[in-house]
Amino acid sequence: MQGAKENLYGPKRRRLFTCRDLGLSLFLLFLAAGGWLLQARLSLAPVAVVRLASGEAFTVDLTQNQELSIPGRLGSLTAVVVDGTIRITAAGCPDQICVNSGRLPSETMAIICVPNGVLITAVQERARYDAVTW
Amino acid sequence: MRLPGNGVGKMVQLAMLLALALALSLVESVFLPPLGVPGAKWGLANIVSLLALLWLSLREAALLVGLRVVLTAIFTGTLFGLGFWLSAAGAAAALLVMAVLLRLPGFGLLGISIAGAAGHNLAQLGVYALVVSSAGVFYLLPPLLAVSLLTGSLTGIIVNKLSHYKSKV
Repeated sequence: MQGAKENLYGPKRRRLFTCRDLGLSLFLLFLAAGGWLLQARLSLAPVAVVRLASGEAFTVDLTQNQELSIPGRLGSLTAVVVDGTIRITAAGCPDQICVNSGRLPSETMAIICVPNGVLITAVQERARYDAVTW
Repeated sequence: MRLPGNGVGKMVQLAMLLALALALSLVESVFLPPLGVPGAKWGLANIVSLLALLWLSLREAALLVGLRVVLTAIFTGTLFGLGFWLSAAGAAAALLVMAVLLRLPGFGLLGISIAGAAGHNLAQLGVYALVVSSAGVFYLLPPLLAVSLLTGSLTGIIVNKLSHYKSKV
């Protein structure tokens, strides 16, 4: 009987969880934790880069408390710089994910508003060395 | 498109799975709260993609996923916008990753589903990095991978419950 026990991709009754699944999950967990640790160890400059949907980009000085209006596809986003961090306080996008992303760089390393085409990222401080050798 | 086997039966199966995928996509976008990480989704439509891979062929599953992405974009008015391309890239990557893992021995539905969710997020980040010409979006990779573990587990458990109920059309 065609396809009674197996189809092209193997047995129909697959197990829910296997040792390989555990290995894969631990690998992804390790990648996530490693990425987080790496980001936590980055030495960050007190500026943020804002990229717009138009392709333009500008930097924001995080040492100066200020309120910014960032142009997006759906309208302007309001960003507030306080105590060396920047966060979006108002946006016209439906899900408000950028507003709920928190402060950059203390709570997140990137703020993205896909509907508005806006990306705000932290900037890594330049290395103090010109070259490293051993 | 000529479908193998019983053409009408396959068409009905595909139509039912497509309706389920569209319903789940709309339920997710309307009723479920955002996960807080940009690009992170519950991935309920991935349930249908994995079921299609289990029950149908890769070609039919790809057709199903393609139709789901296009129709969801038409319903939400985002056809050929950035959201559409992000969704298409994510769905295609998830399908491909899950199809490959289904061929490999030893992986269970949970692992396959988790890998699909991770592939979906990685592809979306890649497309967005290309659009904004900045690798800065990959700062979001750690939280997205963590979210993939949760959402992939959830969809894997649901697929495990549903996979025994293939309709005899």
